[in-house]
Amino acid sequence: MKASKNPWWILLIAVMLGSYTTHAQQKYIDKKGKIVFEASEQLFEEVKAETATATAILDISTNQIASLALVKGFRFKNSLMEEHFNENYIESDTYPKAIFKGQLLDFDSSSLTASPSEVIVDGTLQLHGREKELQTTLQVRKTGNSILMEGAFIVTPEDFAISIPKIVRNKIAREVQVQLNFNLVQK
Amino acid sequence: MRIRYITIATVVILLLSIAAFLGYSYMYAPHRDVAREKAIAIISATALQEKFANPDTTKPSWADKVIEVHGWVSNIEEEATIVVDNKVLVDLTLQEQYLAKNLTPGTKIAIKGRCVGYDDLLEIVRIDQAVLINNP
Repeated sequence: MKASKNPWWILLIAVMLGSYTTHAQQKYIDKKGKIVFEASEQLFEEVKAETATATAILDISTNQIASLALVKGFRFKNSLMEEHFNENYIESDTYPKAIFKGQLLDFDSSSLTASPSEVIVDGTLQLHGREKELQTTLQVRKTGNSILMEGAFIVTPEDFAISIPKIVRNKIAREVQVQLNFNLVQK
Repeated sequence: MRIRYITIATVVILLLSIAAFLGYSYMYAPHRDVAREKAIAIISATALQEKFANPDTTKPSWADKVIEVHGWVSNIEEEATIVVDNKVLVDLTLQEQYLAKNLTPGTKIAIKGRCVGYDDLLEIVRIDQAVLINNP
């Protein structure tokens, strides 16, 4: 009688352990995410910066995604432009971070393949002490243990109450193109 | 009269070229060379993380400052990113990235680099443009 009960307990323990390990594998993290933004105008010097040190965390059990980029991590070709960007426009001493928090809509990580599928992400971008609702389409695919995400969206300096002085206004595009490229690895 | 005209023209051209040169040097100044700057502080990775995680708002932040950090290598990520004591994430300069390959977890290291800021998602401090310092 006693022997017949044992397998039941073993099964329970196995299920508990199993659920514990799947829980641990539900997060995908990128510590070296790439984000590029560009606000160049034709005939003028390019206004473009990039970072390769953004963080992104995706939880595939809730489909929530969070991303953080340190503003000082954005590098420009022109050092004076980088200085002005940090000191006069984005004020990175006061507002050091850009944070996006959102949700992947109708997303099922188990149906991902090596060929990209379109996934809509909806959330808010926080920057320069302001917030903006954002929705864009990402190209998402899976290779081995990682989920790769590519996307782009447009914001304007006014969205985040960043004022551009008149003297440089025609050298900086009104719309800022942002591109992202994340390689999220299972943790 | 002719000589005077030539002299004035030369002076004007000279002044214009100096102005152009100064203007150009201002507009296209090279990026700061973190490797040559002196560190404002020498601190352990754990202490640095603590400083950013619970900032003393009465003092200026160390973001954008050059800091020397020491600790033990936790692991190397994506080839050239060094995690120190699981508290600080260090990106070496392009010239030094090949050195990261020789580092193994548990090695004691010291680096000098620019503090980028605090990443609350990972709860780590990020440092970029870093160089390894020998004999920590």
